[in-house]
Amino acid sequence: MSRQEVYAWASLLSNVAFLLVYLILVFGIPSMMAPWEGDLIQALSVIILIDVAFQAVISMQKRRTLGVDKDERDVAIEAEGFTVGYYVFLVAIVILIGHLFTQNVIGEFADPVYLERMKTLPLHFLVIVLVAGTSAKSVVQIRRYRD
Amino acid sequence: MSNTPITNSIRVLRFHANEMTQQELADRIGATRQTVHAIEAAKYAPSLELAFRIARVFDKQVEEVFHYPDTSERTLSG
Repeated sequence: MSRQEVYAWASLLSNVAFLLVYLILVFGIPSMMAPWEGDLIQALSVIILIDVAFQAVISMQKRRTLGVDKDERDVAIEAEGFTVGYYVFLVAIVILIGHLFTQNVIGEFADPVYLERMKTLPLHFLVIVLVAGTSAKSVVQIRRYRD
Repeated sequence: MSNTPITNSIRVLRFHANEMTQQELADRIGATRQTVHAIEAAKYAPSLELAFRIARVFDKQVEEVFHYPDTSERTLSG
C-alpha cells in the first residue's frame, strides 16, 4: 500500500468519524442509542485524534526516507478524486441555490418557527457537503489504487 | 487505474539487469514502487517523460521497452 493510499484511507476514516460526531451533536442521537451517546462521541473523538497522530507520524517518516512520496500516477489518481469532489460540490451548490430561492419565495407565507429552523439549515448542509466532497475524493482514490 | 493497451518488457529487462527490484527501478526513475508495479502489469500508461526515464535505465529505446499494438490488432482486441 503506497503512502498516498494510506493518506486516502486515513482521510476517509477521519471524515466519517467527524461527520458522525457532527450529526450527533447537531441533530441528536436515535433514541435506541441514547444511553451510549457519551461513549460514542468519546470513541469517535479518539478515532479522530488517533488518525491525526497517525498522519503526523507518517509525515515525519516521509522526511527521513529517501524514496519518492508522490509521483505522476498519484497526481493522476488525485485529480480523478478532485473531479468527483468537484461534482459533489457543484450539485450541492445548485441544491443550496434552489433552497435559498424557495426560502425567499415561501418566506412570506411560512410559519416563523419553521423559518427560524430553515435559517441554520444551509450551514449544516455546507458542513455535511464539505465532508461528503472530501470523502468522495478519498473513496475514488482508494478505488483507483485497488483497481 | 484501468488497463492500458500499452504493454512493456520491464519485467524481463529487470531480470536481465542483475535482477533489479521494482524498488530499485522506482528510485532510479523517481517514482513509487507501486507505480512501477502498475506499469509492469499494464494497469497504468506512464507519461512520455517517465517512459524515457525507464528506457534509459536499461539503456534501450522507448519502443524496445513499450509496445503499442497496430490499429488492426487494437480493433480485433476491442
